[in-house]
Amino acid sequence: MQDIYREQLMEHYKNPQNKGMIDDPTLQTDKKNPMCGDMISLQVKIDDGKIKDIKFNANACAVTVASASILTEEVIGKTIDEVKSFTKERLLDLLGVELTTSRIKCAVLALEALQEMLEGFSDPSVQEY
Amino acid sequence: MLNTNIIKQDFKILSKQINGRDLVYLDNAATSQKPNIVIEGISRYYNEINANVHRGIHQLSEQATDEYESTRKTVSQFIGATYPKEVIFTSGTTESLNLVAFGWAMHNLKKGDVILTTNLEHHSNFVPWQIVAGTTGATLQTVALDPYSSEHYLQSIKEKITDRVKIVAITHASNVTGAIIPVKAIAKLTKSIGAILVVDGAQAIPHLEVNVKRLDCDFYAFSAHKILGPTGVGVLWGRPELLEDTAPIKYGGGMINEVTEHTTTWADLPEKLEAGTPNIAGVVGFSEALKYIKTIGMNIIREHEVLLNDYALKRLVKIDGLTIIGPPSAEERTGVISFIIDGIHPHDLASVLNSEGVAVRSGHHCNMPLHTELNIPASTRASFYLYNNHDDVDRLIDGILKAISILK
Repeated sequence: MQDIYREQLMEHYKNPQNKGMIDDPTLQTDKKNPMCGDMISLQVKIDDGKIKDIKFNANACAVTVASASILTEEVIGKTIDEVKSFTKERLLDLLGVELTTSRIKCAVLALEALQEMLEGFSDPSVQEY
Repeated sequence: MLNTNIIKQDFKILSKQINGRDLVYLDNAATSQKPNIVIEGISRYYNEINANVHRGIHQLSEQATDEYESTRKTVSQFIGATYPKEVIFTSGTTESLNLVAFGWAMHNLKKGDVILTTNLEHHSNFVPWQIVAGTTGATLQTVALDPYSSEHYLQSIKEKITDRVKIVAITHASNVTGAIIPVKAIAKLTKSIGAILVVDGAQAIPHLEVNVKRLDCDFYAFSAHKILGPTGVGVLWGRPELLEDTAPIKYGGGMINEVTEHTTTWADLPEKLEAGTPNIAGVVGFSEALKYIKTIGMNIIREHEVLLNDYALKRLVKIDGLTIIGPPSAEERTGVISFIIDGIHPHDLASVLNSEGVAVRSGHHCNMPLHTELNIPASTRASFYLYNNHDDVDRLIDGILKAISILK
């Protein structure tokens, strides 16, 4: 199989990183994939303009869960600007499997949710000039 | 059963390889494949006839008009209508149902009226009624039909019938559960209270013999592309007096009687409701599709599908953790089987099946309320047609077992 269910993806699906809840999140959001109704919930803790912690919950397919797991691992410690400029292509590269157009929507659901949530957020702890 | 080895040869696409395997096409409820004669018919039209209809007196235009209008006659005979003018060509079931909702219901409903529909409707027979209700002040009521048994459908609808009900909008067969709805019996109910019965026939017309006069409904909508025809062609059949009372929802060329600077009068049926250049090539292709269906015979197709459905249901229920959504027996269904498997997301299942060359649908199949009711985000749907056979079902089962071994 020109297998999208390779070891790395299955490992993240079966043992997802950063799955769960944050007690006092700075921001949280839910996003649905309108094609299938899958939903992802995201919570972030922002400190000093950086992602200090991020957790997700998803009742979703393997591609959505694995990409959320990979994304959350990747963005911890990153600044908000860095996360905002994180491209879909980069996430798909990290996933490392060839996806069809419809499955790409699954793969980028977490990233879209995260970026929409951060849209317009300005961290009160960061002084802007 | 039908000799599918011969039938498959009539469909060029069915000899295609997907991911190195022979294609097994089980997404017929979304759209059927097209036999070679339909594709050749469209090609012949463009190569030899192409001209606009109802416009010119040159030979090609006359020929195009003849073919277009003779298809109207073919369709009207196919569904048992009295006159060809009762058949309105649209772009598909969605446009047909929108035409009833916005051309008829919008002008005939008022505050206090009730539109009755069910939880088994495709969004195209649900969302337009939400909008009509919201605009006219009518109330939209959804009858909760049992997704797992078709036994009490009539009773469930009877319980909701009051003299406030002005429209019953119902599917003839569910695109999720495959359940066949007793439309004829429901027509008796609606008639007794003077309500209008609008039937979404998209999933029934490819699989069941449909006769609108015997059903005694008021409007019947369907698409060509699910019954071997091309995409972009649909039909709205209506009782002539109701079509007369239906206002156009598209205005422009071809639908007028007389236009002056400030006023316009409409053409007679069916032109009144067919503004603009229609999908002539598609309609010509549709005519070939109906010829193909008639050559085989709808009752033979139905018999084949019930046997195939029965085989598939018996094999599927044996799979550990698999739940079938819909009535238990093949006779209660068209060729649709939706199911879920514990711990496996339908998207992942469909991806593994695709890697094995098996095409199924995964998602909510344009019925989100039903999936919400069942408390699942999505399901997997395999749907059959006259070219599918036992081998196709076996390939589906093998693919499911493989997906379970990978994903669980």
